[in-house]
Amino acid sequence: MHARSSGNVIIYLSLFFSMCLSIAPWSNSIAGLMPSWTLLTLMYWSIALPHKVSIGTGWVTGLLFDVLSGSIIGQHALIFSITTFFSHTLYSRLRNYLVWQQAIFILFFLLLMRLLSLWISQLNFPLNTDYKYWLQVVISALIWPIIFSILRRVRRRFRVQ
Amino acid sequence: MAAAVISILLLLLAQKTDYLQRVKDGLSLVVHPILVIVDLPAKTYDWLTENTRGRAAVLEENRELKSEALILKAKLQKFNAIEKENTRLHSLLESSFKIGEQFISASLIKVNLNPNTQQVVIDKGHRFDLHLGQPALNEDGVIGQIIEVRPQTSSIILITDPNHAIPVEINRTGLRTIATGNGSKNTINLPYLPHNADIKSGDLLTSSGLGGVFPKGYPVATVSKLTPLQGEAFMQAEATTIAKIDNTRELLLVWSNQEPIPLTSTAAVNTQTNPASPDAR
Repeated sequence: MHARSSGNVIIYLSLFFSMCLSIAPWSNSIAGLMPSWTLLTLMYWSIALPHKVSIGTGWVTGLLFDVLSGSIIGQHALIFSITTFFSHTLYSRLRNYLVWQQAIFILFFLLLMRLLSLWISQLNFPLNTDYKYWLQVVISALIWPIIFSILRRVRRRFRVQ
Repeated sequence: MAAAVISILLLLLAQKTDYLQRVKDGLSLVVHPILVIVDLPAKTYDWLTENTRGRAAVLEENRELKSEALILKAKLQKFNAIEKENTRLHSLLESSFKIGEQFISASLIKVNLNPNTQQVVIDKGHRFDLHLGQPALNEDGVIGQIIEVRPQTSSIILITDPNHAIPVEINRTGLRTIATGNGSKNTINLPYLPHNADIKSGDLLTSSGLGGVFPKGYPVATVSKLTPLQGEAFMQAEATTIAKIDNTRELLLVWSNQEPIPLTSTAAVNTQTNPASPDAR
C-alpha cells in the first residue's frame, strides 16, 4: 500500500516538474522551440505504467495545463487524453521498440497532435505559425531518448511499478 | 472516449459561453504554485541584488530619487494649473472630458505561458478589481492590455502581439490611425496610412483614446521606417515602441474615469449663454 502511494507521488511530482519547465521564462525566440515536456512525461508514464496512468489522469493533467497556459479549456485535455489512449493501445508494441524507433513514432504522433492543437487554437484567433511551430515537434522527438532514460532511472530508483 | 467527448464539449462551451470562468478561476488556484515556483529564481535574484548593495550605493540612489522627485513635483505644480485651465476650456466648449486616471502598480511574474503569443503575467488579479481590457503602462509608455484575469494573476497582451491593435494619433499633426503588432519584440506596424499622409520618421505616436480601451495621450511608439510601396493603397510604416518590456519589472494598470465632468461652471456658462435650455438633470 505504501509503495503504491509513493509511486503515485513520484508520477505526479514529475508531471508537476514538467509543467514548471514548460512555462519557464525563456525568451519567445527559444521558448517556441522548447519541447512539450508535459506531454512527453505523460507519454513515458502511460507507456511504462498503463495501469497507473489512466486516460483520466491524462485528461486532468491536460485540463490543468489548459488553465496554466491560458489556452482554451479542453484543448490540452483533449490532446493529452488522446495521447494516453494511444499509449495504452500500443504500449506493448512500443516497449519492444528501440528508443530511436520510439522517437520516430513520437515524431509522427506529435505532428498529428500539433495539427489538432493548431486547429483548436484557430477557434480563438488566427495563430501566426512559422517553421518553428513545426520544428518544435522534431525537437520533442529528439529529446525523447533523454526524457526516457531520465524517467526510467527515476522509476527504477524509486521502484515505481 | 468519454474524456475526448467531455473535452470537445468543454471546447464548445468555452467558445460559446462564459460558464467555465468559475471552473477556470478555481483551477487556476490549483496551478498557482507552479507560477510561484517558476518565478522563484528571478525573485530570489532580485532580492539578493536588493539586499547585498552597499550603504553608499543606497544613499546615492536615495539622493538621485529625491532630486528626481523634486523635479517631478515642480513639473506637477504647473500641470495642475494647466489641467484646471484645460477642464475649464473644455467645459466652455461643452465637450466631455475625462478626469484623472487611477493607477495600481503590479510586478511581472517571470514566466512564459504561451510562446506563440506575446503575453506577460502580472501578480495581481480579481482581488484587486482588475478587469478585461484594462490598459497597462510603464514609466515610459503603453505596454498592452489585460487579456485574462485570474484570482491571483492576470495575463497582459503586449501591443507588439500580431493579434493586437491600438488606435494612435501622430502627436505632431493629430492624424489618427491604427497600430498593429507584428510579432517582433519592439516594433509595431502602421498598415493603414495613405501615401499622402503627413508623417515622417521620428514622429511620436500617442494613444488617441478612440475605442475607449486606452486613455488618450500616452506615448506608444516613435515612427522609425517609412516605405512607400508603388501600386499599393497604403504605405508601409514601422514604429519602435517606447516602453520596453525587457527592462521592466513593475508596471501600472489604469482605471480611466469615462464620465463627462459635471462642472458647476458648465451649468453656469450654459445658463448664461442659453437661459431657455432646461437643466440636464
